[in-house]
Amino acid sequence: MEKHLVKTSTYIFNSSIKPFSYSQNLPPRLPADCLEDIFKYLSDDTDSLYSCLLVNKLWCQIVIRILWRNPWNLNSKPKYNRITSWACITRTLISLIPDTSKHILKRNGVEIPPLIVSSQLSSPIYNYLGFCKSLSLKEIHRVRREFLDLIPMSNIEKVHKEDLVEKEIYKLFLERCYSLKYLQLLDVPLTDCPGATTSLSRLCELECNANISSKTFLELSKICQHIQIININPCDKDNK
Amino acid sequence: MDGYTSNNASENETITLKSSDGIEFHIDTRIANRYTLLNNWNSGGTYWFTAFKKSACLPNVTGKVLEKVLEWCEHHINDPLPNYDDDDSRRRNTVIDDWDQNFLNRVDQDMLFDIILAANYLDIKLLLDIGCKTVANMIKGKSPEELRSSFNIVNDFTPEEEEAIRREN
Repeated sequence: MEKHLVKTSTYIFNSSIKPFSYSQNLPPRLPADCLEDIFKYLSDDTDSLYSCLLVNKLWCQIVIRILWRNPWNLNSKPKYNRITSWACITRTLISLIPDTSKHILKRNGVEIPPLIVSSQLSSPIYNYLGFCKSLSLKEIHRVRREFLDLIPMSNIEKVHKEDLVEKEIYKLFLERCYSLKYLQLLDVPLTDCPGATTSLSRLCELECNANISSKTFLELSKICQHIQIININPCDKDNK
Repeated sequence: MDGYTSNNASENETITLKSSDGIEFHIDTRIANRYTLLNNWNSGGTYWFTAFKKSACLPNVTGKVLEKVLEWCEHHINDPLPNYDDDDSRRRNTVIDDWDQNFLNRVDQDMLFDIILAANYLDIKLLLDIGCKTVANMIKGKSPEELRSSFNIVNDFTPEEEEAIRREN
């Protein structure tokens, strides 16, 4: 019936790297804004959202934003093996690493095996990090561990590469995220993270250790205009 | 705040809504006020009435659907107006009251979708909410294939795209 009631879809997914080309002959029965309203009621039901993800391109584009808003909430994926999920997320993140970071990693002895890259598309369907709203050290450390598990090197070598990999993962987030709301700050100069001016511009909550340099705070004050909460955790060294 | 007392319309005042297929509905002015139907929307302007006109044509809503929407509006005419500013509180509230549940249980899927579309178009947020909650409940626990079948959706992924989405998520 009244197909003209369906509003023209103006739903724009700015963050997609390679937007799908639509081949649907029929207009969607429910427009994107109504579907988004519906899927938000399933925010805690990751299994159902995963099913919706694979229904068609329109549903996928809407659901992907909800799933990647906080992709770390893996406990709520009962049907999916937790370890597999972390590995899957890490592989997707690796596929988003820019060439400059890959070169830095390679120069420092961390070469991403071609097998990992070739098993993924050369670039993912979406810039998934563009939807991510939250990043803490716990997640960076877990991704770092998964990342290093994929690299063929000894455990001792891996320990020595941890800081390097952590920094490149952190830079990846600050480059690819468009609107982080929560961040646990690493002591990496923001000048090394060219995307920070965008990714941190809507930050609401910042958490960091007391060892962060005052220069970094000064840089943050220029970028972050919407911070409401800052948690500064005391360092062990300061307490001695 | 009670929308009933927030406007100056008397209980006996009515206005006329005309559906896209020409069916006229005479409704209590309080309903129109409550759901901003009397406001000048930007949706074509000429289709919508102002406070000075007592009738309006809704070009995108059929009589059958408008009848159901107005049935819902009339039942809820004396409800307190919710705070629409807080979207999160709307999301947290997943309860559908018995009357609403029964109201939507009596319609088929096509009508349910039409009610959602009309509620979205007419900016009747609470009706939109319960419609969306109902569809969300229909989605729960279904596989992608079952969802396509239930909602008559064509899978427009290429096999490569579908595989990529599975792999990347």
